[in-house]
Amino acid sequence: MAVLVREHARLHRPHGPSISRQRRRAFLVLTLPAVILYTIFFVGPTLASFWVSLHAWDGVTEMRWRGLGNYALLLEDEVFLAAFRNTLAILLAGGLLVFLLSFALLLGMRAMAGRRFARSVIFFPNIIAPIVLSVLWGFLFSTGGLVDAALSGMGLDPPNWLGDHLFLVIFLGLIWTHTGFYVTILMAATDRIPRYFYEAAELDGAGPLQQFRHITMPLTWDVVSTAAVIWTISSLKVFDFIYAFGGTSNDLPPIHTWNTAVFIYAQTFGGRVPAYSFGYASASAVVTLVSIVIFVLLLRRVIRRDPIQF
Amino acid sequence: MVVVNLTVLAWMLVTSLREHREIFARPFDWPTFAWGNYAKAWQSADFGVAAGNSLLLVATAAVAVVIVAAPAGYALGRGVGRAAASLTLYFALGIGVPVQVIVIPLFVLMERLSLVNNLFGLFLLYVAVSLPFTVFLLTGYFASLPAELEEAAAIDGASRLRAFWTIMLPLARSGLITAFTLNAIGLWNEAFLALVFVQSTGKQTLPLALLGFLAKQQYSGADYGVLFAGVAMLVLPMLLLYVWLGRRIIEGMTLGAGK
Amino acid sequence: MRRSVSHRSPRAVAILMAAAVAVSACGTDTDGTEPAAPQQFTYWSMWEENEPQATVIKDAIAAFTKESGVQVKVEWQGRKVLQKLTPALRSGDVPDLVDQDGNSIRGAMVSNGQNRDMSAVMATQVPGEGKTVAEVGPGRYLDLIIDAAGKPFLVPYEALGYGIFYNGAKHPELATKAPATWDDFIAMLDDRKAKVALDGDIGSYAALWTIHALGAELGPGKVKELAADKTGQAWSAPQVRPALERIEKLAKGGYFAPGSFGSKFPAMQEKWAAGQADFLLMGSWAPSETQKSAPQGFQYRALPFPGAASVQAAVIGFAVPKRAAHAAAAERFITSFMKKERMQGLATVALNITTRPDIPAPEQLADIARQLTDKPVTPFYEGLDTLGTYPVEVFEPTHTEFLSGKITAAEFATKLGEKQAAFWKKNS
Repeated sequence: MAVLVREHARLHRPHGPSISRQRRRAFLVLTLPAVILYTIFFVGPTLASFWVSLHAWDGVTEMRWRGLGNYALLLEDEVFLAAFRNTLAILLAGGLLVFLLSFALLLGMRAMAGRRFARSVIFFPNIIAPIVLSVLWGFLFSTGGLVDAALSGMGLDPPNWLGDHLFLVIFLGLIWTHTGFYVTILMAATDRIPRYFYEAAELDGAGPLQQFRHITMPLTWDVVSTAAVIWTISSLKVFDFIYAFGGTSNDLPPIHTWNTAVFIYAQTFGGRVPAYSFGYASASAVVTLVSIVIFVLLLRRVIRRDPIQF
Repeated sequence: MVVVNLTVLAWMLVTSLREHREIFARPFDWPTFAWGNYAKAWQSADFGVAAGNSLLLVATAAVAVVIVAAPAGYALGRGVGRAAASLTLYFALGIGVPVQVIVIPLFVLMERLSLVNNLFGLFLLYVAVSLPFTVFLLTGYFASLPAELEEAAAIDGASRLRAFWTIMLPLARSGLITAFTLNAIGLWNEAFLALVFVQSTGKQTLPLALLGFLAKQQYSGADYGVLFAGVAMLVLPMLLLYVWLGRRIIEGMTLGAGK
Repeated sequence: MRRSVSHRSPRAVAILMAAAVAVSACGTDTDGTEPAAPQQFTYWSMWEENEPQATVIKDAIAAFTKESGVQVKVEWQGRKVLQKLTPALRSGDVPDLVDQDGNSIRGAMVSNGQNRDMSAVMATQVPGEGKTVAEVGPGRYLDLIIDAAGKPFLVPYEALGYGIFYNGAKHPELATKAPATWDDFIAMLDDRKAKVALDGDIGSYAALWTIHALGAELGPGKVKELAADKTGQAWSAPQVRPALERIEKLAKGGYFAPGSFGSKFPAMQEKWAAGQADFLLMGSWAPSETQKSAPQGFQYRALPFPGAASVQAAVIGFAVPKRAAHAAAAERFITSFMKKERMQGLATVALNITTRPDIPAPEQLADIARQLTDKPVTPFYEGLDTLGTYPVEVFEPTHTEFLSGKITAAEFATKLGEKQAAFWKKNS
């Protein structure tokens, strides 16, 4: 299998009117089921919620027109802005850490015995109910808990983790749970790389880091960029883990830990006596959605490279 | 990381075997083997029927998602030109929409189709909601597959549909299995849509049963031992599935790419 | 999918027909004439099927069906019942009977006009008792269950009250000698070197202290006026100051048990039950939540909040959606459930306080039940939780800083005032 750049491949691609028509028909047949299903049950309701965002609506009675009023309010709403900042913090700082950690693990696990097992174990926080994690976190970080004990054992004065640094604690937890997912995806990609590439590199005297840089990274770039986009998008939907810090099954967590998903929930169904402000919540979702679109477009521009075929 | 995770898992299992009072007195300690926790959890939660529903729903929905998304992912991943690019973006956008926002319009739609409180309706929703992510994932996956085989097939006169079916699909097996596994796990934990769209207790899924179980634990005497036993009963099947399929993924990969 | 689309129009017709039948049935029902066809109604319950409350209600339903012939279709939805109700209210395919606590019903059904007026039910005779529903007990809680027009929207069957819980075995003298004023209370704490437990991570639990102190000082309804003040300056008024200063003293005096602001619920409540703290200001569910941690011989007792002339309470009860197709049948069931023999199980089996004072409360809640019958009731949280997201977005974050001793009473009043003004500007 030779290493080919796609530009090169394209030269050999036959062109002709009948083939391109056939290709177009095939394209339609292949994508149509997904497009239909997605449009009816997802895009339709989403567009409806754009419409809702221009109204005041409790979800039951008639909507009242507000025009852009909801949006004007949002930009002045400190609670929303703080939630938006948290979302960005998770997206950017969290993303950086998750990917660094994932690559480090990938590198560390390449030569490890029992890596299948290790990967399963790393993925495992993804399938655990957030409530369990939050209870565990509570025991670990509470005043006089295990972390405090460890710190004071080292002669340090432990801070009030859950009282003063709750967002940091949640942030660490998020990174911990999500890393497994990306390790899984990236590992599926690296495992497709034929072994003899590495064998050849080893014969040439390349160390693991060099192998990683010259073989793994370029050959998995497509998957990495996809993973980056997935992170962008899914980081915005982080919800359960933050919500689980709300204490009882009814209470919302403190507002300084909210991200936009929790904000939306709080404006609609969340809390002891829910607010049911669907118009306002929809507006905040639209703002979030539009910012992701911009970010994803930028991201794709930045990381676009010609994929390498092998 | 591996050690930390194993510790967490162990802690969860150990805690599920301890008495409530001891858990709070000493959160980290050896189990007292209170097997009764599991019996109590099983009794007080309606996990039986719910497990059946969840299993059926998640298995069919995850398979259906992959069946619908794979052709689209192939067409988008191997396609060039504006149509493919804009359609890719069209799907990508969907990943960012929080379900809470579309739930009311969605409910009105489902009500018109008489699909509320109906497992088939929930199945449709699960497929639709999982589509953006799966299409996105598979698009990236197909894009990274070698092109020569497909081109060889095209020169041989095989149609694109046949090229997809006979050549690309087997090649993409590991990607498909990954997509299936990730969707299955995601849907297994999905609670919000189920909460809104399922009303009968007989049709509820496991996360709903768990929510009810947690609420009950809280109102009528919290017992964290029983609570953890209940959670462990939900996590263990998933863990086994993952460990099992994780092996499959690797087999798929050796079949697919390891020539 | 194509299949379901092609079935759509006949189904729509069927729904329309069903709706028409329902509307006409509704018409006859309200006239009081019973249709000849076997009747039934749908009940979405806040309880899970195997909870004790559910078994009590199940028995009552069986008895009701036996005496009236009306079938009851129950869905044991659990606590999230109203989350399921909201979309259903939109579509119009609603259950005929739901239950939840008063404020939740108010938020989900009353604020959007989707509730039925319960005045008639309140005035109906309880079968075989010669008294109306309101007279046998639920009438006491009228203030908690009326809409803006003064009409009841709920028929309550359980009452929840607040108190300062303690272990009667550890502090036996308090039963006869409860501190009457705030100063007495603080002196008592000093005397016994007693600690107060608080799961301060839950903003609304922390708020209990300040809201109670303010309510005791200012009287009924006044705290809500403070919160509803558009300028937020009401918090700096001189009459508010004494209550805030009391709380400031409590906050800075080291009365809260260690960990009260650095743990995760229910850690502190568990510590209290295990004897590592002495007092817990909490609702009447505290005993059932902590019973598994309390050692043998633990006696649940509760002090009234010192200096308070009324008791904060909440109720759980039945409500009927406005568009319910079988409202009359549901209301008949409500009336029958108010019978002493039907409701009794809520106290004896489910260990709750019922809304009937002639049903003795379970022993561990006797103190709270006495408060509920002796004193006027005032809404839980002084009704602040009916102000949308105000508690969680405005009051609780600032208040937790105050109660954990990070800011003074004066700073609290100013900061809260500013946030509140911004909030009401946004929500006007």
